[in-house]
Amino acid sequence: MDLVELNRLVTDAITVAESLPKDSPRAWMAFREVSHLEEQIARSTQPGDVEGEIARVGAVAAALRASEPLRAVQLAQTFVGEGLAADVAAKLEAMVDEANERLSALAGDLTVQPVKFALAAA
Amino acid sequence: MIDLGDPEAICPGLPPASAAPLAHRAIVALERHHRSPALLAVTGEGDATTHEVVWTTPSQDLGPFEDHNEATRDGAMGIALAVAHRQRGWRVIRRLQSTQSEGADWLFADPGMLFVLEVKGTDHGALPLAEAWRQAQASIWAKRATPAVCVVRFAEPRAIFQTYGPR
Repeated sequence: MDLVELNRLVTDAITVAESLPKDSPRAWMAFREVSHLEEQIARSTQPGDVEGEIARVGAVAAALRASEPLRAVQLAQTFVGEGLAADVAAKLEAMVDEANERLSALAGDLTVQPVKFALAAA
Repeated sequence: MIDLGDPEAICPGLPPASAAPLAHRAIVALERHHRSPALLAVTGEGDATTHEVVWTTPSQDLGPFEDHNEATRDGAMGIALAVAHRQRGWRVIRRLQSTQSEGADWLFADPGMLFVLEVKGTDHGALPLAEAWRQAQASIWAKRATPAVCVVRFAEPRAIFQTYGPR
């Protein structure tokens, strides 16, 4: 798929995602799609191009809005390692901080409690 | 002329699946005050033009089915994209996510130049031009592409379209 087509697809995906209720399951799904399209654009562009920078920030931002903080961290670490401009790298690092906060909160929520139940004969 | 019944003609590069909802919401926002055709007054850096905006009045009042703020926001985007093409000849490259790009909603190409456009809309309130410029200039993308803003008010209707770049 060429860059023009990817740009059309991500435009449509963003238009759908931004119209959905924030933090709803449908919005998570829609931003997951946006994040994957942005990642494809990132792979098709140079980290120093404007479109490449937008896509790299977009892939991470959309992962956060898709409620996928681990993916956001992994993508950001990959992109920062590509040698982005300082202000773009700083923006990604701020997103990593946000993602790590969410991951810590998730870890705090993970509690296991025994549940009693009885199997009834069919 | 801006024909909202022909979303594919709004702006080159804007895919139909995105153009249709933006045009639809522009109709919803315009129908609060006007019936087709309406004259859109556009001012910029010292110039003033008008565009006839036409649409087919929906068979029922769509207002109750649309979020007021979203219709205003997305309707303003539809109008801004049409103005960007008609007044400047710009072509859409892509949309940017709102949280990613405070101050830049769309990336455009003009031969040899890139522009990032921030769009804001209001129904009948004050045109948020200063706020739009503040956000546009604070955007990290404004260092890489020429910033531009378009603010739209549906009550008249009118728009202000400004850019720091060459015209």
